Amino acid sequence: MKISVKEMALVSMFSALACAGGLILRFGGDVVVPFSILPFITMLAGVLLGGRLGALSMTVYLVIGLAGIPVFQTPPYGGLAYLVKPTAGFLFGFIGAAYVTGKVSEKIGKNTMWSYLIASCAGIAVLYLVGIPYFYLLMNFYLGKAMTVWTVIQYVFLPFILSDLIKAVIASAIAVPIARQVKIRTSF
Amino acid sequence: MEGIVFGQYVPGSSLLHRLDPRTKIIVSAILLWLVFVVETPAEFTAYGLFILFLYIIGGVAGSFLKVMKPGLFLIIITLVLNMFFTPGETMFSIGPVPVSRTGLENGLILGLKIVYLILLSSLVTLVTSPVRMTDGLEQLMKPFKRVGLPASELAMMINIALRFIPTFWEETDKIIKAQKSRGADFESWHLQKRAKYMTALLVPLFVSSFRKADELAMAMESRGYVVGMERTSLHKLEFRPLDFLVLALTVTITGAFVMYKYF
Repeated sequence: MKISVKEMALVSMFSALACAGGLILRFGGDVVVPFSILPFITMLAGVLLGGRLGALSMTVYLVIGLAGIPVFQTPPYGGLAYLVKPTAGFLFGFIGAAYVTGKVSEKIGKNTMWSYLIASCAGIAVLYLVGIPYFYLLMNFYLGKAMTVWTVIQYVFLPFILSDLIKAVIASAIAVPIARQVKIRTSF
Repeated sequence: MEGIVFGQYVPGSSLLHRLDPRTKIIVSAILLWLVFVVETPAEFTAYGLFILFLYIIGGVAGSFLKVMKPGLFLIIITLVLNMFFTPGETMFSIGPVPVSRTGLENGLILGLKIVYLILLSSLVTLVTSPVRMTDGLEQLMKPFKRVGLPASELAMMINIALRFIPTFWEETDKIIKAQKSRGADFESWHLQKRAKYMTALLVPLFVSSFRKADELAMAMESRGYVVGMERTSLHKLEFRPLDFLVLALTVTITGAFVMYKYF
């Protein structure tokens, strides 16, 4: 895998953003933003950096978290113990989501909200395609709770999908002015 | 914010602090795997005492409870889920809900396993500073360079990201305050307004992150950073006799335990 210094710097910045975004929910204090901005960062990483670098930045975020720095949003916040949490699959999903979002928007190749929206929706689909099976497997085979696929969907899909879709719309709308300002895509 | 950057690291000079990060990563991987092997109450007790012993010789026994706090919720959920929702012989009831024997046992065992997992994985971060940890990870990933894993670049990116977390945190705080003073209401439940204010936060944040990346890349290049070049480190990692001893002991004891248990 070849990577330039510029690309390395960009990937690090987006990983740091993801970490900071994960922390906002926990240590908001007087700046509290009452919802997770991690999906925004995932989608924007995909759209703005492209599939390869977007996925890489989320991978770096995941490695930082699993190495024990407390950057995840929910307890136990970091460390390998996080993997026994049924929702850990969504963290891996973020990598896939950033990759697919990036690849789709590269394919379309237009700086419009609609093209980004299609890409983000594809990314969200991947997020759940990774997250739900992980949740299902861990619940059934590790935590020993027999759960049907339908119950799992009721737990982790239905309550969140709407807000994720809204976030996708906002992220696509935001991506247009940012992409115009930074003109990153021309350098690819 | 300082606390985040250093993770839970407690500076010190104990035996565990002085071990090579590679040793600590390998040993903790073995110990974490061992959590899934222990079964009987005697084994659980012995393993628990062993973990406590590690905390004491690491000089971080004071952090024992602090480490457990974030995991408490997960443990209680596991216990309750298993206690009430596992069918089997009823042991006692809390109100109208029967608690089955197998359920309670499963819940306790799983809960205890999660406790051990959290304690062990936290111990490594308690006695290893993040920079040394990334150094160790880099060294451990080196053999995979052949198959295309950019080990040192990955470690570099992790270090840069760690360095920039507080910067972005402050930046976010500053932008939110700036926009609030211009009348932005981030807690609004009006969807369109909310979207508008998110834009007011995220656009400057992302644009500034691109600018920072530009500046950083330029700074790195002007200092002669070349991707894929062999680099030396300020703090050189080296295996001392102590590291070999700890590794050998862990492997021997684990091996003996597994042999005794399964053969």
